[in-house]
Amino acid sequence: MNMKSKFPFTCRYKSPVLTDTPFLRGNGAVPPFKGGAEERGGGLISSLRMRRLNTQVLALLIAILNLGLLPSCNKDKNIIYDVNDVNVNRPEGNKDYVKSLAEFISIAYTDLFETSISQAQLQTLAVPYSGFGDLKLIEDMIIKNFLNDANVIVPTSTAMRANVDQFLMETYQKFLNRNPNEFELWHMKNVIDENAEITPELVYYAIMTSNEYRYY
Amino acid sequence: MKRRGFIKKATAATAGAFIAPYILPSGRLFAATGARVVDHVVFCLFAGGVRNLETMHKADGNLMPNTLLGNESISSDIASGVQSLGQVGGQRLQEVGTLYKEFRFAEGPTGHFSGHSSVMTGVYNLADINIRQRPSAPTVFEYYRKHTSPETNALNAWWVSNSLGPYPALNYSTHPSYGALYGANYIQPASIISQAGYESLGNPKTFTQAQHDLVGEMRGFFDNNFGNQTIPGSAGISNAQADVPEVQQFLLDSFQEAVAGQYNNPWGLGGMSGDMFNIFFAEKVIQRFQPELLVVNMQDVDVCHGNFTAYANALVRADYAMAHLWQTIQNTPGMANNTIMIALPEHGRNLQPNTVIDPYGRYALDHTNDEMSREIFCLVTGPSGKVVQNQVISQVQGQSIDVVPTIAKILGFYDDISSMLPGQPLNAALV
Repeated sequence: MNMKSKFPFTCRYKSPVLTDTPFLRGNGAVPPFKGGAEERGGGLISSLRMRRLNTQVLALLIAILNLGLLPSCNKDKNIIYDVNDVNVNRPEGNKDYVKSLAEFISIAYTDLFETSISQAQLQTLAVPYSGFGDLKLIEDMIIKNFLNDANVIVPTSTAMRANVDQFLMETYQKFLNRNPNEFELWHMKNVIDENAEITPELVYYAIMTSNEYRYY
Repeated sequence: MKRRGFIKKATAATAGAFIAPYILPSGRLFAATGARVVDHVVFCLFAGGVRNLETMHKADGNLMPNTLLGNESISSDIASGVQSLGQVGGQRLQEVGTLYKEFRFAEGPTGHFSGHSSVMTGVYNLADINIRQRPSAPTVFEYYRKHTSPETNALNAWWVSNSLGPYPALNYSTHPSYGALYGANYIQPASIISQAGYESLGNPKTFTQAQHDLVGEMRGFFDNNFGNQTIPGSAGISNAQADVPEVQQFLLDSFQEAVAGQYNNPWGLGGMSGDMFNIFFAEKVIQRFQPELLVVNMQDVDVCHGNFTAYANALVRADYAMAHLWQTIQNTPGMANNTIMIALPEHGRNLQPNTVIDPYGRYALDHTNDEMSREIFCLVTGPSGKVVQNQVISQVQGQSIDVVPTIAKILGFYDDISSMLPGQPLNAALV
């Protein structure tokens, strides 16, 4: 699936610059509260205290007002976040169609013998395929017969174990027409590494009798 | 624990013990309610279009000497074209069961697939006859597998047909509540047990059990990662994984027996017709798997479209094969005296011939919906005490769509499906 997404987003709020307010700056616009005239007593002092308090309250109000007004006072900036085109595929590669009888046989033959099946061979193989109701059971037998053919092309175990990653990449491509994802690669590599009995033949047999191989 | 509490819990536990078995085994709420008459049914479609004139009415002598009582000689003009095969056993089949001499294929086109489809679904196929499609109504196999509790696996249900064409489509329907999940194992022996079959399947790579286990593990991983999974029925029916090796070995053994020449003349008759080979292979299935429900057909008599005498000869062979099948059933442990066999043609043939004349001067016969092409017979054989013995019903009674209800009654699931079926069980044949 080819999916392109755009997210139009306008930043409508800008943080107020709090340090612009005299009250919070604390650098002399409003003297410190403590000491001085208050300690000396008298009405003048009280009056001065009240004025300073009023010034502080006023500054606080201005600051609050500033918080509310600043965003609306700034010009909106239209910021658009975009993404690049990305092709999104399911791991199994969007295989929705079941291979027909002829497709299954001819593709399996090509995968294992690296040559096209002849029309006569295709007809020969189609006969038993049509004559039994459990197709997977018959496919299983056909694959096992292919694997027992002297001309089948299968890597050696030595070659497989020399570079398991490469073997798996090639096997997935050959049979499933896709690369394995990281998890598949990791899991299958573990399976092969941990089981000395596993041969390329067994991997081929397993993958060719899997559900995914019946689809394209 | 107080006495009242003890009684309460004990009662609940007892009730649970009775209820649980009816819920758990198959996922169904209740098990099939009907009792079985016997445990096995073999349904022999004596097909190809068989006219009652040549069978029940013996217009050209007794062409079914293994089924019907009587020694009427074959008409002299065709006698040299009809090879007698003798008796398979001491008894005629009609003696071990009930013979409906005037059965009917009452509705629908008198075509082979239409006839097969109707008799195997229990519903006359009037609207959607398409030989490229599976029937829309469930087949007897699906009813059997779905409504037998615990549900049975595919090894218990087989459809053995003597030709390809549309017949492979009859092992399950497109019905959304049934389908491939409940279908039968289909086999067309002449295709599989052949040179082509042997070349394709007969020489497989063998793996050890440990290797098989590893393959199973890897395949499971591949399948789990395949999000699409499989479309039900995309690969036909599915045998249980545990049964697959047994079925494959059965096929491989059959190849070996064929290669060894054991299939050339197994009945000592000097050769096997297509019908005979099909019945012979059905017997192999019976001997190997003792299925609870097996349907097998014959169709060689359809040569009648161009050769009446060959048709009469094919009738003799079909009769012999059916008697051989019955004898095999009686010689198979587990099925002997525990099997009911039902046999009937899918339809008859016309009263009026076509224009083709055979070497013996007889006109050939088609089947194009006239009254006579709807007249057939039905034979129900089985153990005494289960099937009424040596009974002949000569009046018009019974029709093709009664066979599925009869099988359902015999195997104990009729009550589950009676509302879906227009036909009725052939109660007159059952004790």
